[in-house]
Amino acid sequence: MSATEISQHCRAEHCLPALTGETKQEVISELIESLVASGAIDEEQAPELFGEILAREEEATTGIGKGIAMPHARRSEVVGETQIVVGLHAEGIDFEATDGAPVHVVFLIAAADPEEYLPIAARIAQIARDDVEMKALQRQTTAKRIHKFLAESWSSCGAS
Amino acid sequence: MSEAATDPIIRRVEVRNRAGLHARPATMLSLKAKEYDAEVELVLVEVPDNHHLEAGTRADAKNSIELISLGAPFGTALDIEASGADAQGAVQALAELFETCFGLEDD
Repeated sequence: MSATEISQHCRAEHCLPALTGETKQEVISELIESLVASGAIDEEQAPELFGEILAREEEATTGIGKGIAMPHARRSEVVGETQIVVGLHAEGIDFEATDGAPVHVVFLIAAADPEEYLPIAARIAQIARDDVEMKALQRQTTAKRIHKFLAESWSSCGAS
Repeated sequence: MSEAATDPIIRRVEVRNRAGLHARPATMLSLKAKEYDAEVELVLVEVPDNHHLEAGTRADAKNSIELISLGAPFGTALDIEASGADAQGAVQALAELFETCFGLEDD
């Protein structure tokens, strides 16, 4: 998946600089709310997407370490096209992460096509594996800045 | 006299689960690799057309985020490379996870 393609799945209105939820569930709801607010999904679809994502989370945490979580639905029945929502949480939330560390950056992926999930997760992990990039991402204070930062980061790393 | 470096143990494996090397298999691999002292890496042997990484890209097998970043889909060949006293055991244990599709049914 090219940098342009992945950026198209992540709109500025789905970049949240200051999550306020205090639990994993509240944060996931907050991220889904942004999809409702932007019109990407209908309000009555939100509970279904929440259920899809929570079901996956109950199988095993998506808190993959280093303060990052990737809650997702690999084959969502709700979204017409694949959506990525990014949220920053200054205090950190308990995601039952594999390393036990609180989560500060959450990438929610609602994939319409399961084929799209793996390359998106890979491109997110490319940023996540770079401590400097991760710290820089967490310094972005507005939706537009987060969006711009991710687009630039994706276009500067990787072969395509 | 300094100790001579031993050659790494290398074993080629293939991603056999349909969903590819996503978060859960990556986490399982990293947890298994951490049971060993050996340094263990996964190396992309070949990549699909238009993949975001080149063949030869390496990931620390003890780091699930690096493993996910490989984005290795079904059918991808990878080399497990391990160095250290228990390298043989580490390679065997990780190869078994690939061969058993990480125990993930319908994945």
